[in-house]
Amino acid sequence: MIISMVPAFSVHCNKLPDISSRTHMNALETTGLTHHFGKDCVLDNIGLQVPAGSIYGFLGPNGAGKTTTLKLTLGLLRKQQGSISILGKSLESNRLEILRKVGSLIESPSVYTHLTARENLRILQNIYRCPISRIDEVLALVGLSNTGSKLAGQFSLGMKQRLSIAMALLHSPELLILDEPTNGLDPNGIIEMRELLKKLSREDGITVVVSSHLLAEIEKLVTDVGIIHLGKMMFQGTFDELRERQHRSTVVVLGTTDPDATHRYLIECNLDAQRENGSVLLPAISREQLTELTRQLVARNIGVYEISTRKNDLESIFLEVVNP
Amino acid sequence: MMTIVYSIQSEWLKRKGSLASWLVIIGAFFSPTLFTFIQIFRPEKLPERYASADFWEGFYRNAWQPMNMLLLPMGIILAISLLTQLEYKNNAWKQVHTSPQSLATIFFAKFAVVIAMEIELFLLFNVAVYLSALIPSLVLGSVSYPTQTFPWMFVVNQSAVYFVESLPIVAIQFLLALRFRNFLVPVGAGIILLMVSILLISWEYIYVYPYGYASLTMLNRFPDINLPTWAAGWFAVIMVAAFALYVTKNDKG
Repeated sequence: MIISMVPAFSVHCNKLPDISSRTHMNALETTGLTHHFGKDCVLDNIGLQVPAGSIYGFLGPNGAGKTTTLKLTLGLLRKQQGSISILGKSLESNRLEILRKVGSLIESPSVYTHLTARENLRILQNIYRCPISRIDEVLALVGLSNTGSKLAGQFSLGMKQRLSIAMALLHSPELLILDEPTNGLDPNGIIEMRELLKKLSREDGITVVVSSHLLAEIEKLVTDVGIIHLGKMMFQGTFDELRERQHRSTVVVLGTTDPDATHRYLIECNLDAQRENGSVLLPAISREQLTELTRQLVARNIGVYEISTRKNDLESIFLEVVNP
Repeated sequence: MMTIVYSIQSEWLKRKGSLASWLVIIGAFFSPTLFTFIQIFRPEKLPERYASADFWEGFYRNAWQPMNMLLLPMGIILAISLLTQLEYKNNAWKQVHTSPQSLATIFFAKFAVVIAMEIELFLLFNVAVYLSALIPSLVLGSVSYPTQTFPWMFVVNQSAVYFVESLPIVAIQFLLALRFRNFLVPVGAGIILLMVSILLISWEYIYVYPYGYASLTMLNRFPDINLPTWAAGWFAVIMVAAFALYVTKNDKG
C-alpha cells in the first residue's frame, strides 16, 4: 500500500521563520575536518559549507566519508581535528542548544520496534517538550496517521524510514540532516520524500542536508551540492555551478572523410581536439565558429558528413569529479 | 532538574512491552508460584508450620533462598542486558545521542529506570511471597491463615539489605550492557561471574567478590563483616567506571 505524504502537507506546521535573515550565513560549516580510523585517514580537511535555507546534496560513492562527516557534525563521533559550526555556533561549546534545533536521520531508521509509531514519537516529545499535537502533525506529514496500535517492528522498511523522518521533524528543527533518507523507499516514496523536503525548505525555511550516493536521486531536489570522494571534498557549490560544469563538458562530434587531417587542422587552430572511433571530438564552440570550421574543412577537400553535440549527463559529471 | 525527570519519563516509556519488563514480572512470581503448588500438593506439615510463632520470618527466608542464590542475579543479568540493549537492537543510540540531553542525563536516566525496575521486582516478589502463603490457607481446609502478625519491618529490612547487596551486580551488568553492542557479552560475562561466586562460596575471602553478597548474608557466612557496606563500596566504584567508559566512548552512533 502506498501512503501518500503529499495530501497531508496542509496539516503542518506551526512556524514560518524569516528565511531572509538566514540567507547570509551558513547553517552548517566545517573547517579542516580531518578524521582517522586507526591509521586510515577517512576524512581529509573537509570544509563543508551549507548555506542557510538551502537543500544541500552531499554526494559521494559508498565509503566516501559522507556518514562519518555527518556523524561528526552531530557529535556522534569524537572530533579529532577541525571545527564544526552549526547555525552560527560552535558545536563543541553549544552542543545541547544546537541539538535542540537539529533533526537527523543517520543511516538506518532508529525506531523502537516494540512500540507503536505514536509511542516512539512520545519518547522524543517528552525530551523536546514540544506540543503533544505535533505527534499527530508529523504522523500525518509522513503518511503514518493510520498505523494505530501496529508495532513499529511490523512496519516495512519504508514505513520505518518515514517514522524516522517524523521523529526528526517532531521538534520543528531549523536544520535537517538526512543520511540516505530514501533507502528502502519505493519510487513513489522517493518522489513523495522529495516533495516533502522541498516543501519544508520552501515554506518553513528549514535547511536540509541530504546525503546520497546517487546524483540522479537528488538532482531534482537540491539547490547546492558537495561531492566527496575518498575522504576529500571534490566539488562544492550551487547546483547551477554543477550544471555549468556539465555545459562545459559538452563536446562537438565531427564525422569527416579524413579524420586524421581534420584532427591535425583543429590542433593547428589551437582547439583541444581528440580522436574517437573514426570521429573527432572538440569542446563546445559557437554556431559561427562551427560554420567557419566546416567551411575551412570543405575548402581543404575534407568531406563533412556528421556534426553533432554530445552532452554529458550529470551522472557523468559526478563520475568525472570523483574519478578525475 | 526537570531535564532529568523528562529523560527518565522517556526511558520509562521505552520499557513498555519490552522483554525486560515481562522478565521482571515473571522473575518476581516464578519461585513463589512454585512454592504455592508445592505447598498445595504436599500439605502434610502445613498446619503445624502455619501455626508457629515465627511463621512469616521462616517463610520469607525460605522464599529468598532460590532468589538470592540464582534467580535474582540471573534476572538482573538478563533484564539489564535486555533493557540497555534496546538502543543497540533498534539502532537508537544515535537518536538518543542527537537529542538535547547531556551524556550524564542519558546515563543516569537509564540507570534510574534500571533501579526502578529492580524495586518493582522486589515489591512484586514480596507480594508474590505473601500470596504464596495466603493461597494454601484459602484453598486447603486443613490450613489456617498464620496466627503471627505480619512482620512488616522484618520484610522491609530483609529486602533493603538484599537490594543493596545486589547493586554491584546491577552496576557491573549496566557497565557491560552499555559498553558492548553484542547482547551475548553482558549476558555471558554475567553468568560466568555468577558461577564463579557459587564455586567460590566457601573461600575465606569471598566477601571481596561482588556477585555473592546476598547469598553470603542469607547463609550468614560472615557475621562480623558488614556486607552491605562492601556492596555499596563496589557499587560506587563500578558506577564511576561505567560512567567514565560511557562518556569516553568514541563512537556514540
